[in-house]
Amino acid sequence: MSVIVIGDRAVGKTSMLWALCDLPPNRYGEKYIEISDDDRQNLKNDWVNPTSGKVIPTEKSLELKSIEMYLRLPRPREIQVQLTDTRGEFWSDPQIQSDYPTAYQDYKKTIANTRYIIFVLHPHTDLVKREYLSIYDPHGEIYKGDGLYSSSAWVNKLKETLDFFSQHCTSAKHFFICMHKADLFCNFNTESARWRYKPSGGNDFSGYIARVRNRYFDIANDLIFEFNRKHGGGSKLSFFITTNQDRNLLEIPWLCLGTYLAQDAEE
Amino acid sequence: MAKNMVALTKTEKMEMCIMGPRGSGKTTYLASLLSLGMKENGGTKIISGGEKIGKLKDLLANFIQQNQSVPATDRNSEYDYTFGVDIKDAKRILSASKIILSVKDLSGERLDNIFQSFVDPTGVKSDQRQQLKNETDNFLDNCFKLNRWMFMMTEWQPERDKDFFEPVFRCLCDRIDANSTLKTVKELRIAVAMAKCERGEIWGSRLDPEADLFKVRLPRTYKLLKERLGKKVKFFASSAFGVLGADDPRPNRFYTDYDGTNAEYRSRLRDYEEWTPYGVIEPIYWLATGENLHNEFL
Repeated sequence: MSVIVIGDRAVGKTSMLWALCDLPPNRYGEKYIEISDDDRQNLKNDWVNPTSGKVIPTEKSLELKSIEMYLRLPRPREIQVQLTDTRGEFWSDPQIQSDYPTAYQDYKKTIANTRYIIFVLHPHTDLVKREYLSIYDPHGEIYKGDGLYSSSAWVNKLKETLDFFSQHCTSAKHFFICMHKADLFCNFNTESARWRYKPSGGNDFSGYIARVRNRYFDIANDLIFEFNRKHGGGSKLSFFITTNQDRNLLEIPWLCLGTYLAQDAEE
Repeated sequence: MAKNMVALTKTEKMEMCIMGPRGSGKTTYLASLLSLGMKENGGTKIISGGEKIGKLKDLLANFIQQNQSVPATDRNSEYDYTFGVDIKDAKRILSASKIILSVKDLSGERLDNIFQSFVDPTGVKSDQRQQLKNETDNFLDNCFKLNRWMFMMTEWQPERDKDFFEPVFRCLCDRIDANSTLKTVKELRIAVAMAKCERGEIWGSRLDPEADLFKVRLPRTYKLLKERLGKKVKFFASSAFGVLGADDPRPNRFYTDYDGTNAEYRSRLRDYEEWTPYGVIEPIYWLATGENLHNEFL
């Protein structure tokens, strides 16, 4: 069961994965995804700077980890996930792609052969709200840096991504698209409380995915509809909002992904 | 046992394959059998088993119950499931009161493969045609190892009837004729079910599916199957999701917002608590015994 996480440089791929391991239980004292202690310690050694406690930027084009995950699905399962983290420059920087042609070919080939793809992207500038910026990006590191695209550039980048998926990712069963840094564009506490996963069942994953698509990806609706039409009319794209500030929102895409992983896993 | 005594439990064992276009609801149909197993239904009890049954249980708990789209079965793959169907409190003496059912759930592109291999190969690159043909031959050889087949249908557009279903079933009928000496073909029974009959425009036709659904909606395919297969074929109406209640004929499903995907991939179960599949046992019972099961709610 292979999963790969891709996206631009500094979009927060590794820190998002680490947050999933590291964030404390939600306000109800619950974690619905748990990483084994050994794997968590190994990831910490690889990903976290022991002095600063911050996540180290990924250096290698591809970093494969084998992680034991316990998923508290309605039918709970413990599964082994082959998770590949990637270096963002290989996704978005043409210079790096041409400087390291062999590594770039491997990178593309690995994505093409992966069954589940998590694509992480930032919101575009029109979505970001000033009142949240002052709290969660007070020094303007994200907003003023090269972290956010204008809405038109964002749509173009998403088009490139969907074209890449169509052209190369023929082995992919499903794509999980996470708009990260939800703290910059919505009241994530409200969203978290509303959509919090219920392990006993009765979750409305489709309602959540449709809401995220309609509210945050609406400027790309034409692209999304076209992608779905091209892929036999079946549904291969799911949309999420995530933030390292909130365990509930961070877990939802992994729980959706977990339903597929559990389906694939031998019992 | 004395000659005039009726056996209290008579068990029929049956192995069948289930085929149909992509999105016709084959896997959802099988998951609906599991849902029946969760509650007594008209005296029927279903016990599931088999190596892969966990996949159906996952599907039920993790997808259908969580309002997620049921994922398509991987291309060219097949899964085996086993069910034990206990039919109690039947209104008359039946040929069997228990059916042990083994099912091969076949991925949806198999019918497309038959079409592209033997009817119209223009959609396939010329260098891949022979390989596809060989794979389809191999697939059909495996089908002929079984004497019970079930087809799930959902569409009835005149052009699909004329341009796809009729030629595909003609091809299958030719194969059946060519293999007429096989024991499995001599014993062959084929159930053709119109799935998703909760749809308002066909719900009323469910009571006589042969006359009111197939003869009217898929006339060419119906005529072909009746002429070529005679008593080997029977027509059914089924609905994995069913309707909201005996007095509430609204479908027990809803569609999510349009996102470019086909409607069949956007349908979700509306009310899990009220989930009562319709007509899902009847075709199985006929396949197993050759006898009709007169109970509208099975």
